Amino acid sequence: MTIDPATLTARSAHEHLSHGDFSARELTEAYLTRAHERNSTLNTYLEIFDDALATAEEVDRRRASGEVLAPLAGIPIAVKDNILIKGKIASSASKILEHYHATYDASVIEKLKQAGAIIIGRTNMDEFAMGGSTENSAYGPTKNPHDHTRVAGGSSGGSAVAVADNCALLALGSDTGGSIRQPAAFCGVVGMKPSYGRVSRYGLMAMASSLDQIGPFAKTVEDAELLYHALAGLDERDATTVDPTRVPQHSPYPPKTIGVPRAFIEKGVHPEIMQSFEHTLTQLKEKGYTVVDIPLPNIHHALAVYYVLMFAEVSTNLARFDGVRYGLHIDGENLLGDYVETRGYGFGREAKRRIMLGTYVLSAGYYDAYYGKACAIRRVIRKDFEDTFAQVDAIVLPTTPSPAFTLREKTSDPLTMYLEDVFTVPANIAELPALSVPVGSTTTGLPIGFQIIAPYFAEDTLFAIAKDTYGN
Amino acid sequence: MATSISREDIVRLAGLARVELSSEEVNILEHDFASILNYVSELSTLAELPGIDRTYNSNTLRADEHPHESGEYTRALLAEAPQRDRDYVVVKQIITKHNDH
Repeated sequence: MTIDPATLTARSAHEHLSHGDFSARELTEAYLTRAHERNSTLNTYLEIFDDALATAEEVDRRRASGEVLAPLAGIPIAVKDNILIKGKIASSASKILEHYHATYDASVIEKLKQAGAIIIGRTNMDEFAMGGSTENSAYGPTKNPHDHTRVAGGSSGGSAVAVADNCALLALGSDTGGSIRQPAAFCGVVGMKPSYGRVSRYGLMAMASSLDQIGPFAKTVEDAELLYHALAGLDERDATTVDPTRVPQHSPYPPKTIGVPRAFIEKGVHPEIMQSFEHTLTQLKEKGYTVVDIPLPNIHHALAVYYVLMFAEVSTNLARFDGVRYGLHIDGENLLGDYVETRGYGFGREAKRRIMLGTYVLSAGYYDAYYGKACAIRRVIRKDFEDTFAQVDAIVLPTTPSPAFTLREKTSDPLTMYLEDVFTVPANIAELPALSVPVGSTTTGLPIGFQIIAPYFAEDTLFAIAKDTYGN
Repeated sequence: MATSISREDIVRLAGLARVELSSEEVNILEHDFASILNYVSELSTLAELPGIDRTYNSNTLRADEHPHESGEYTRALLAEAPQRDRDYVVVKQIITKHNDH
């Protein structure tokens, strides 16, 4: 049969592969061809792996020999460039790692390979996952497939576009303050950040270690769920992964009651996004959900907390890039000169800005006022969420205050760019699972995302509610 | 909290952060620091209410056994180093003999 990437999902492709309607090689070839065709227009991939065909042929051989394969076997998947794939370049879209080859597989990559998934390329992103538009890539921005004059969102912009533009069936991203959910909303796909501790970060380049999580992009909620289950699990190589049996279950399933933090979303939201949000709430009520207003009194401080903690963690995590052990090396006058010149040349403007701000908030005299205070308020916000989940099964809000903005609109004003994260950051601060599901578009055709936040380790709640939203 | 930061502070911070900045970058950062620090300073006015930590992990330890063969990963790791000499990465000398001066 003819392979039409526009209509396939991971689930339907799996059915076709199982029935022999087409082979994994044919499917991979179709996606590689489309990825190559589209890349000069949208700049989705930093590299497309043509050797994926060999992996696909191996999957076909295994199937032909009668082996029952996992649902991801033969499915083309795109991977964000900050996740290590052994032998491949992993640059985090930075000049400092332009020629760095990963020496091992990230745990999530190991899992995908074991499942027989076909990794077809590494996707563009904001340098070291710092940004909300993919404009901070050292390799040029990724464009929004719905309007090429607009951003894809970020930092996992390439992964969102790979799925939205049918250049992969699924994709991996990482989310520190919204870097999966925001580009998913801007591009009209499903994007999910699991609970902190759900998915191993072994082999993910650390940006802000107390916040980073790897998660899926997909065209449907069902596909996102499929990929999420393939990624989740305790990993002894990432000591922050959590044994699910140790987490108390405090959420009834299926979910029935949804909370809306009205005070938090009443100002500054694009009218068409608000309209679509209310419309989705009405539909959920029609499906039997009870919708109540909730206070979450400190949620509006989450963004300031985020921008202190993240800067601090960035400045320490990026200290490892020193031109000695891997990556770029620029020769200076002495050892200190090597460090300073390598980092000065190798890091882009946003990376330098965040390293500098992190150094400042951690410096003697300012530590307590900034970092110490942010940690304390983070605990308060976490408690607010816990208290709220005693009354509701999930919290919903728009994923973003506005639809995809135009290229270069916010690049000269970092604070304006930071404010884009206002609705996604709270889930990272409170370590909660959250998902963005597309719920329509603006009159100009830009996608709109609806965000669901569930109690800690209650990912199933996200999927259940997302499936009940319009069109899913 | 006062959030003014001088050009000299930016240059000193760049030294601490081990990044070289052009004078244009210093100008931009001086401006950005003021607006960003002003924004996050809202935290300083907040009372510290009761909060919670989430700790389902404590002392996550691995068994101290089955080390890999010595040198198993050396070649692959060293291949990524910008400068190397046999099984070592090369860095500039930082200690000099007295009579070298």
